[in-house]
Amino acid sequence: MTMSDTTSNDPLFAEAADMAAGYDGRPVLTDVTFDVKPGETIGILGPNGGGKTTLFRCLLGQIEPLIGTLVVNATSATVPQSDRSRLDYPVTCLDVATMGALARLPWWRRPGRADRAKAGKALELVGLGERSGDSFGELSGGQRQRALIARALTAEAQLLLLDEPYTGLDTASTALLDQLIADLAADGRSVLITTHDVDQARQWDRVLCLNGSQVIFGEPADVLDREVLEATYGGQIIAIPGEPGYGVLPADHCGDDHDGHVHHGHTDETP
Amino acid sequence: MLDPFNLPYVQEGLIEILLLAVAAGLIGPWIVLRGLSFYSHAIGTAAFPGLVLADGLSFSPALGAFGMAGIFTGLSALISRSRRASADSVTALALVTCLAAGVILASDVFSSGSNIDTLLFGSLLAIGPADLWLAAAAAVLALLATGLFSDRWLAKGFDPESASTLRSGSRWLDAILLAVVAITVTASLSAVGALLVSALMVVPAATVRLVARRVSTLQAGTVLLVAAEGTVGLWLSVKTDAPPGATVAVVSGSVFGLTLLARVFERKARARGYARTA
Repeated sequence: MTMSDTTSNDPLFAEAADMAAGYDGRPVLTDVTFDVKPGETIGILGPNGGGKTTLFRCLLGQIEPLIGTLVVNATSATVPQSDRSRLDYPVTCLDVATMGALARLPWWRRPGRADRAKAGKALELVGLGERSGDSFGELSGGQRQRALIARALTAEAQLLLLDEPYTGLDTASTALLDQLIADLAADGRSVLITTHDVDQARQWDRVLCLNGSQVIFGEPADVLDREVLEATYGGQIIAIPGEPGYGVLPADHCGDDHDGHVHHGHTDETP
Repeated sequence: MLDPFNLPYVQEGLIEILLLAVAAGLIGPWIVLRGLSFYSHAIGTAAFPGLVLADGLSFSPALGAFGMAGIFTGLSALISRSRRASADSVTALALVTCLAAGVILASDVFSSGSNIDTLLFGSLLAIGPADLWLAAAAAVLALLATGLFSDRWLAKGFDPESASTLRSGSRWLDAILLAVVAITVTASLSAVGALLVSALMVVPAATVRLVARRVSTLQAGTVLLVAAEGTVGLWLSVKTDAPPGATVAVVSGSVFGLTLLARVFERKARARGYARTA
């Protein structure tokens, strides 16, 4: 997946310098320095509680940095994990996509015919044109994820923040989502994707590793080594017996007389 | 068969229920979708001491009910901002307190006696011009609020985490919803009373919710269902000499039960059909 050439000279969509962010004056994420170029895909790696959600909230303008600077020059939209939505709501795929128009409209305006047409086109772009009348709750996890991306497209977002979008997806849905992310980047949009899958992160333009503070930011081939992953996940990378890959052993097990099992359930395979 | 509707007081009751059908049909779905059923029931009960005070001190019942509902809504909105207090437990506490205060005021302070039944269960067959104006105002308010805010209420209810990015996460939008619910509930009190308000505001919307696939269908269906259940309930109450509010509530509950049963049988039939073809 490569960055769109046509947009490489455009101004940055976002730029953070020595930023710290948190809640009630207490930082949960520190020393963050990175930038987002137009048409770029960035993987965000880190353990649960590592600061990924806090970073997204900063980029969305929901919280202000405690110190440092964060400049966002693009319309941002979040694409949450689809099971966090109310799957029992009486809404169709088109209704969900149309909700994106609310981000652009003043409070007294309702989405009109043109907004619904735009939402319909967004659904076609994500491959759900024929499912627009289906109930959102009856779609598969991958389809729901793409419907939420269509909502972000209807909002005319240039910077899309995807929160663990691959969770629970099968191989076919994963491939569809991979292609969609590549298409969005080729169209000049930037996509930030949180993930626990190191293999997946290697295919994106750059990676940002967080564990309470920034561990590293750069191109995957340059920065994703064993040392960085151990610092990111606060544990020790170990070979999984009988498996062609590695896992992260939690920090509290490091140095112990362990039996080689992965205790934390985090089993990202690395080549 | 339709003789009861020739009577002037029944006609007024019918106009009242049709006006309330617009308000309850448009706002009821938001009560169901946003989990405000208990709140709406509590608003009805919170208004009870206000109605007793109005009856005892001879001022407008609407003023008494709105005053108490307003205090309750304001307190609920304030308390809901605190992470320490559970909204449901505070609502339950206020509900019991208001009901007890109303009963004490009615029995020991004003000796309201037979009026308590009317205040608690409504009097659809004794509707006055003020009640009709109030119901009409509630209908207009419901139409306005639906036109302005329904998409944002939907976006917030559907995906609370992303609501702020869709300009739908403001506390003001929630406060407006609570206020519109409070006004609609209060306008319904003269028809179905403090204790049966759910018969108009919650049960019909919950019934249509079982079959509706879109919010617009849910709202249109609920308007029609409240109108139909209210009309049938009114007719039945005159024919059987039963209290109208309670009769509407029984009709409403029965329709919900039958719809639920129909849905269960439909699903089972579909599963059997699938098993046969598989």
